[in-house]
Amino acid sequence: MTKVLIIGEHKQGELKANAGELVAAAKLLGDEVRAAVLGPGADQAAQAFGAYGVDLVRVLDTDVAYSSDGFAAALAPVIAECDVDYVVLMQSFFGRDLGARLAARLGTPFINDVTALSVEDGQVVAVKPLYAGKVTGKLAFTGAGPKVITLRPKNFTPAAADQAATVEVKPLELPADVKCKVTHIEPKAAGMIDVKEADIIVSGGRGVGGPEGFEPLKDFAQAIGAALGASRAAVDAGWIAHSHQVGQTGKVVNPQLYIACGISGAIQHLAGMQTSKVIVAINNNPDAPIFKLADYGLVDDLFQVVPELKKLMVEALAG
Amino acid sequence: MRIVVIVKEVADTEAVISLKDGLPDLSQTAMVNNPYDEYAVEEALQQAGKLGDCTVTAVMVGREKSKENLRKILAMGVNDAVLIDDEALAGADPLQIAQVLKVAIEPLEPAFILAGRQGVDYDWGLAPLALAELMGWGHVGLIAKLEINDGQFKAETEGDDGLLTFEGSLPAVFTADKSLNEPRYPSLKGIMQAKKKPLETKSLADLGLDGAAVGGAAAGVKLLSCNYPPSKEAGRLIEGETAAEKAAALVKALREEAKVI
Repeated sequence: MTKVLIIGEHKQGELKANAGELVAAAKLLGDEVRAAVLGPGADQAAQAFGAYGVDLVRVLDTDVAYSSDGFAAALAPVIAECDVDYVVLMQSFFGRDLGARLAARLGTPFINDVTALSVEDGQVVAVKPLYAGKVTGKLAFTGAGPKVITLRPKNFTPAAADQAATVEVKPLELPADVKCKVTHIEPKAAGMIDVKEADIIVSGGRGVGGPEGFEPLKDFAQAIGAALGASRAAVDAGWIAHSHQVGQTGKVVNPQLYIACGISGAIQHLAGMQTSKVIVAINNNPDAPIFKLADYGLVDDLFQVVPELKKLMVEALAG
Repeated sequence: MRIVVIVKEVADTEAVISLKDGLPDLSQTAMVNNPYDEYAVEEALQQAGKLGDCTVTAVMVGREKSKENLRKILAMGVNDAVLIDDEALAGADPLQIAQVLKVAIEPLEPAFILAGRQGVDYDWGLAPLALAELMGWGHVGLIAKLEINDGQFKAETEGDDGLLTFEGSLPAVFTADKSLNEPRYPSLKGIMQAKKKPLETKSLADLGLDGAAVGGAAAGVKLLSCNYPPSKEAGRLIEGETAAEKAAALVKALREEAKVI
């Protein structure tokens, strides 16, 4: 029997919806799926796993919001005792950080940012974009013992939360000598959507001309509930914060709709957004490389188009 | 006091990645210092300036020809460098790299270690964090701000649900995100001085390590094959006399053809 332990994510006791993706991936890997939840409110979050049919959840309910070394130390003994074959986390800040620490502690291999999983000739094959998606790699584990995997968000169809299993909770223990921990969380400003979580991204590049050029894009994004993205050129010029950067040295995104405004389409930018379902490019240069990738190209002045687009899309989305 | 900064080479971010027999072939590709590592180097230099009486040592796992890029790190102001060069390390996984780094770095007794958040090649971001675990140290990944005070640190990171402040005691490992600082360009003087700065090359044998154990042959993760993602075909241009007409045609297409709004 192949045993899989998924590490759920929660916000103050509310289990995040990506638990469905973790369960779905776990079912591709094995037959026994168990979960763990850690941090303040973990007891409450654990109960929500019942809806996914996960009936045993290891819980570390602690005042410590996060400690990579502490949480890894709490999880490692259980993984060893229970002969867990795969540990699955999300490729979030939390999952990437804890997964790495956990793999090192267990001395086991780790494949992160996985977009697909399959079993070929009895061997698990993980698909992972390399070079920010310029190429796609197929990777496999070798050797015995547990393995750690993180999933790129929105690549696994979430398992349905339609069951009614009773959840048994077993506590984990945080070691006394935690080396490093979170002491404060400053919540994100309201109304700001992260590019990694957004269904629609409005993104600006060199063509916006300066920091003030981002104002109409910000307006547009807010009006339609989109996130604001940017190219490296715009970030390097200091027009907008790095947290907005899409591309090889920024964030890799996967929205339903990507609207590139004044972005020429350097390869390192395309690598970060080419898996968007629909790409719109607005640029006054008809030869911009972005048009080769765009589903819909619009050759015009972005400052003329964007206000019109804002008006019409607000109407369309309201209707 | 010493600060160690871990650096590596990657393919130029503007380069197309060539494939040979289904695996990346970088033999003709221009190599650059990993962009994120430059933020780590800059932070090490700034922290050294604040702390005073501090040596900054760069450690790179690379090949003989990587020395050129390692000299560029020295030209930024780093004091000395160690290049770990061993052909057995080809194909080593990040956990193995962390084991090698541990043996190379431990004798240097750093107060803390800085590295880039990830190499923009396989995008693992694992080796520095694994190194912290192997050292028995704390770590903070993807830092946007770092304060060192009297053996204690405070670091800020953009987490999943907000800005996180981490606190702990040194020694520790930090990985740099792009928002941390603005890396300096090497000055002409720095470039000249870099030529004379100590750069020591070490093989696995020099470190007392066995290539059969920490090398690619024993890697826990293997890259089986690579391919290019299906190329997206160019779509169509939206026609119209005015910006307003084009916007209207686009919204219609997004709604009726693409069905995304």
